Amino acid sequence: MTRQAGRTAIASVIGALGAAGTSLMATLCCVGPAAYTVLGAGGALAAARLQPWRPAILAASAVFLALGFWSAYRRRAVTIDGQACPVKASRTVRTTLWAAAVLTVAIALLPPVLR
Amino acid sequence: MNRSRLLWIAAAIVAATGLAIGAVYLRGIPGPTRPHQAAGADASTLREAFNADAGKVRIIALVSPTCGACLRGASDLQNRVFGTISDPSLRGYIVWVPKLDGHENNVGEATHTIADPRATHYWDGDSYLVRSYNQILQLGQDAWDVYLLYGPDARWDGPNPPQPQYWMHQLTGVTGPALDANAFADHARALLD
Repeated sequence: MTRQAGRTAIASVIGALGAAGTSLMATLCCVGPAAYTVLGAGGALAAARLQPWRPAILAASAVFLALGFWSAYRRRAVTIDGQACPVKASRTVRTTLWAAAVLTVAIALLPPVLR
Repeated sequence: MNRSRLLWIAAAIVAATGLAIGAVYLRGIPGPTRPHQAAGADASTLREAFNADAGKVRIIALVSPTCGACLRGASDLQNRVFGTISDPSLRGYIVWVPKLDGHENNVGEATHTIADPRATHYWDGDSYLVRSYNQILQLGQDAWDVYLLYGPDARWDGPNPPQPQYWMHQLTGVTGPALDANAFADHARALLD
């Protein structure tokens, strides 16, 4: 049970980080020369094209994270020798989820255009 | 198929999409490199070209070669204005300006965004037009990421360019219509008719 909850949570983290990373790219399109230096001309143009989709991408991140937290924190009871033993996802999985959540919130709070 | 497997598949799709976007776009902007020339002291070279095209509908765009939004604006100009208007009486003057640490050596790849032969690329290294259009458009800030439309009767007779007949921008803190390339094309077509 714990292993499955952990896998679900990790999958959610990967999805959330992927969506958040795409949103970060869309956010960085216009923050200044550093974006061009990192992304190049093609990347800067791609980032600018992603910018209108930023709210949808952030929403997808939130959904992934919500699924991950729900899966990691809901308690499942395992019955051993007739006695119920609540289990939950490991500390590593939960820590990773929280780190992904903090990163996603930070990206969401970045101003969409910084010039 | 259980929830965990579904989430792994979704996560893999997200990751693959991100990698695909990176592979396609980070290799650079596709297209040929167009030649560019200096706008000249006090934009004199551009002024001569502008007046030589009297009788035509003219577009001036002030864009930075290192700004993603500018590159998107220029690309939209190519796809939705030049790409949808075949009239040879339409002219474009794409002026690349040194904003967001843009340099002349960034202009080459930036010209990939607009390949239409009716458009000519310039480099305004002295930011002359950046300051001029600040005053003309009363922006209260440097003029860049602005897209200006002139009718056939427009002439550039003084040191500063004339007031555009219509303009759009992608700046923040500026009144005026935000760039909508389709609407800009509609205004250009109206002047060509």
